[in-house]
Amino acid sequence: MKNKTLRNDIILIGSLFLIFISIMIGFLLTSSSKNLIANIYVSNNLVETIDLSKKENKDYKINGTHGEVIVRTKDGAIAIIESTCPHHDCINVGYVKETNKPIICAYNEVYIIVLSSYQPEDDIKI
Amino acid sequence: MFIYKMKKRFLPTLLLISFLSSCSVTNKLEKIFYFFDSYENISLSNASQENMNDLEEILSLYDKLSDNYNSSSRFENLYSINLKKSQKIEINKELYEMFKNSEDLQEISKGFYNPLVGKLSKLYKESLAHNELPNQSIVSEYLSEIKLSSIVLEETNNQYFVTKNGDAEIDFGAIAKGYVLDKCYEYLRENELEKYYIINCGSSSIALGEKSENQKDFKVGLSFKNKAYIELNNCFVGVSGVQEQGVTIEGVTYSHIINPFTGSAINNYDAVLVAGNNGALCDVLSTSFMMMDLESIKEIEKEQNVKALIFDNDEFVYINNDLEVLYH
Repeated sequence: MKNKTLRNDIILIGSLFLIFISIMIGFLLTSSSKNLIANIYVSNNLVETIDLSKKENKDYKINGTHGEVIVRTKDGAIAIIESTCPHHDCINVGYVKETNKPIICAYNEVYIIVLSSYQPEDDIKI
Repeated sequence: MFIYKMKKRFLPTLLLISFLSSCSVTNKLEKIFYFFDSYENISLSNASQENMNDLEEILSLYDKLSDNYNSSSRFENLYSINLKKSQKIEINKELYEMFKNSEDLQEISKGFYNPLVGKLSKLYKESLAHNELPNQSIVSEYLSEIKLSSIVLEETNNQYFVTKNGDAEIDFGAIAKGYVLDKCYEYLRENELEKYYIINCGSSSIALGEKSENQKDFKVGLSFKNKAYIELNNCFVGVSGVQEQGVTIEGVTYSHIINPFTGSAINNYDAVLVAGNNGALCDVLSTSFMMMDLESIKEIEKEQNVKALIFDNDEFVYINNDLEVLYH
């Protein structure tokens, strides 16, 4: 009886500890995005790098492998707004300003990846 | 017996929860605001939303007071003062103190900071936006106005007054962000929040506490030099440079920093960083040093107990002995 109680306590403590560690890992992985840049690739070639932190409202014409793709930056985010692809899945993604959410137009082989321009080790950049 | 069993069962759990609570990450609050035509990022530890709201009010207040493009319905600000030449205008205590600080800093910077450059600044801003240089006769005219203009402050029975004489316009662009950092820091200190924090005003003026209990220093990346950073804590930093707002015309780079003596927008260096224990001072000196020779800079460094770092043509031409540039 004694051993069973002790064992249950150990299981309970261990479970709480694991939950705590999971929360900490999740906290560390989800960092807010600042000083973002967007890299635009066509067929794995980097064709454009855009500084999203400037928050310019601007359109970019990208020559994809099967036609033109129009990319728009607005308020620090980026989106594909026009494409010659048949299904427009890339357009439906909408505006992105997160680092873990790429925009892909597979038909035109256009990929947009948002990155943080911070050196990862910097706490702040001036 | 039951209570004894309950205590025995839950006591270790309670102890663990207490332990986890005590060693968990301190409550971090972060928010971005838009004032002074730029973004401010505030990161606080162990603060409440109310603290963040209070800081937002401080930023908002000084943004409106130092606005020389729009009037305020609540009080006299730079815009309304600029419109009323040679009139004694009652202002609030906050703006009065800002004017007093500006006076002191003008002297400390040996006149390279001059709040009466408003018209010159606007002229260059409008011209450079079109990749053009301003008309030199207008630059000369505005320079004359600066020399013939003055700001007179008066305090009587807890009332505060300012009189702007002459046609020059007042502009607090070189002081506002640093000054508001000082006000924010005062607030943090009054509320015992001055240990772990960062306040970043437009990436050109920052206030730093300490990073954490285990690591005091923040790694402050230098945008003008790839992979370079310096380690700082418990200080204010002002940075000026041509990188962001500079416009190159026929091979010459013109910045937003106007020399109040010559009317020139060509600076001596590409970037200057000043670290010290006062936000407005670092803000003003980082701008002023862009126009000064190295000997004058070193002289003011010693007088004001600040540390400068000067960058030009892709190299550091001067680094204060107490600063160290590191590379990732």
